[in-house]
Amino acid sequence: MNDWQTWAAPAVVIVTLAILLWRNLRPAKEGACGEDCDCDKSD
Amino acid sequence: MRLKSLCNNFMSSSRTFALVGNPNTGKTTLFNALTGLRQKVANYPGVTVEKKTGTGHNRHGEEFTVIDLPGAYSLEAKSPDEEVTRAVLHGERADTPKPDAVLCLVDASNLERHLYLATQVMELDLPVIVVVNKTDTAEERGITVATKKLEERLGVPVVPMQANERVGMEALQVALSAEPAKADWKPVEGDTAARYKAIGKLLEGAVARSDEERLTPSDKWDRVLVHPVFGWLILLGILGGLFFTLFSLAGYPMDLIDGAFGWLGEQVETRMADGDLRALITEGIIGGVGGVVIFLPQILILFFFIGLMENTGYLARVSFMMDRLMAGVGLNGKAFVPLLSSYACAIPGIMATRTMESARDRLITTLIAPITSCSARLPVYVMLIALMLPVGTAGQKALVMLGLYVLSILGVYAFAYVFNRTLKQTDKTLLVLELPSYQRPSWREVAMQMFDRGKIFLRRAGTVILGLSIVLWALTTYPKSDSEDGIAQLEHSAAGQIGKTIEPIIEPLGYDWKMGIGLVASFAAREVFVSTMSIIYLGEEAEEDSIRDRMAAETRDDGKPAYDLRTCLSLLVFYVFAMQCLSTVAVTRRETNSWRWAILQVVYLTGFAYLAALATYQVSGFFV
Repeated sequence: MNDWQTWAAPAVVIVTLAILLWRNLRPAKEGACGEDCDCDKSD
Repeated sequence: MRLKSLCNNFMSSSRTFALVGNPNTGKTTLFNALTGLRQKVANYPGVTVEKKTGTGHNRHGEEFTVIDLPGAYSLEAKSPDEEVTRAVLHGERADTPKPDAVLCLVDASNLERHLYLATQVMELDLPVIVVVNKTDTAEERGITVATKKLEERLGVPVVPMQANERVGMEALQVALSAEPAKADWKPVEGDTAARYKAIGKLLEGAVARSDEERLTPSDKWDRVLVHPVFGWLILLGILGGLFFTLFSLAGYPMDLIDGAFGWLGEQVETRMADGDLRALITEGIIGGVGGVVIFLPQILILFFFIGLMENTGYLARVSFMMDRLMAGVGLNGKAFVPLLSSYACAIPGIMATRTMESARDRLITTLIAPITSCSARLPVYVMLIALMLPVGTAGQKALVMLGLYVLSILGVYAFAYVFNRTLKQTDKTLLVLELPSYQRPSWREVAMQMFDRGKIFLRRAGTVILGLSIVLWALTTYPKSDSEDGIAQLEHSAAGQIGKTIEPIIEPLGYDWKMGIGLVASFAAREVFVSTMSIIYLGEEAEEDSIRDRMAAETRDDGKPAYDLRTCLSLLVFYVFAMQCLSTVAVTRRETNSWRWAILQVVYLTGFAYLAALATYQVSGFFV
């Protein structure tokens, strides 16, 4: 077992969780519906 | 910021054309022909109306911008869509520049009615190019349009076209390259009758009609394809063919994708030492995302067929046939477009209810839209059907899939009926559906639609599903147990605890605690059930079997298969009705402006899914 992997994996999980929360809780972009329908993509 | 402002300045120096026309005139086809893949889709701020812009080049190589405005019958706005068209043409929207000129698209076989909108546009003091589309269909009907005569009378280019065949593109390019001119058209004073009178005068001697009533090939096809009996049989045959192709053809590319993800996992395993991060990458990321991406061929095949049906004009006939049934449950025919869109995804479907004028019908359509079998259910269906019929033929599997779609349609009708009886009746509006002529499909457009849907699917797999797979892996891994046994670890994990907690509730449905983990996880998004199963069963054993093999080999405490016929049927029925999509809940809340309806939607759909799955499992016990 690798020690560094033991803390690196939870770190990846925490970062992912933070991104997911930020994506869902941030206010919707102007001009987009703010949902997962592909209309908020940047050009 | 500077670069963006420079770009904006540059953009504003090029000419902007607004594309305006009635619905079903071929606007999108012309927009695609003019702009190709140089398109941008967004929403008009404040309203859920799609804003499509694209760029093209004229004969001098100068760039121009095209804004594809929502279809409208007149500039007297009745729906949010028509209001956007009106406001953009009047230059009242701060987010959209006032167009320099307008491309007015009219249907050659119905000129009088289509010129109603076109003449209103001509009165806006904007330069105009008139495009007379579908000249081939008009000729089939014995209608000839003297576009040169109209051009002389209006003093602006009048271009005859068959946009789907790209016939007339050269003449349109010439018109787009010239200095745009305003039409020689006097504003009409008075009501609708006065406008039609003025249009009649304009068309005098410019439109010739053959005296005999001709039956076009489209009319002849319609005699069979929208026939009250044969029409339905043909539709069922087409859907059966679609699902048969889904199961028989998709197998090869699916094996390739499966192999590619398997190879990727092996590469990571050989290059990284054993540890948590390696497990996260192989089981969580590669297993979770790969478990969903493997269904890309099926998504592409589904949208190939939908694109083909839409492009040939057949989908409008399906709407027409369904409308007869819709009236039976008291729902407005306009609910069709939103419900049809929901077969791809309920989110744009619910957003499309904005085209409906009656608030009550909008609400009913929003509440029932998630029952339509969206494409996110497809991976779940395919996986469960394969488990249910391990030695079944593609035809048998297609039949089960067809049954699930029929069940979802029945669900839509049943709940539409219930809500129609429950919610207070306010007003009634009628559906005016113009059936476009049948046409040879534009393969380019079908391919573009497939490409777009495939891109959305992969984007979702690479973002939402990736994130949820990582979180799910963590839930199945932590807290850690001292045991080396995979199942003991899973039981000890947070996900295992959740599964064990809800097991008594789901046991009567034929599910064990591992399936419970999948059910709970897929409340975020349905396809997460597939990735959850991949993570659970990948993490359990180190054998080389596929996920499907491992699930098929899974047994209960009494030694019987966990995924037997009854359990698979029960799961399938659950997934037909359950409200498992957080994004849809959010859209319902926003569109109805109330948490009350969003919560009602979750409760009634999930509650019904539970009861239906329970009934399926218990009743099937008498037969199996």
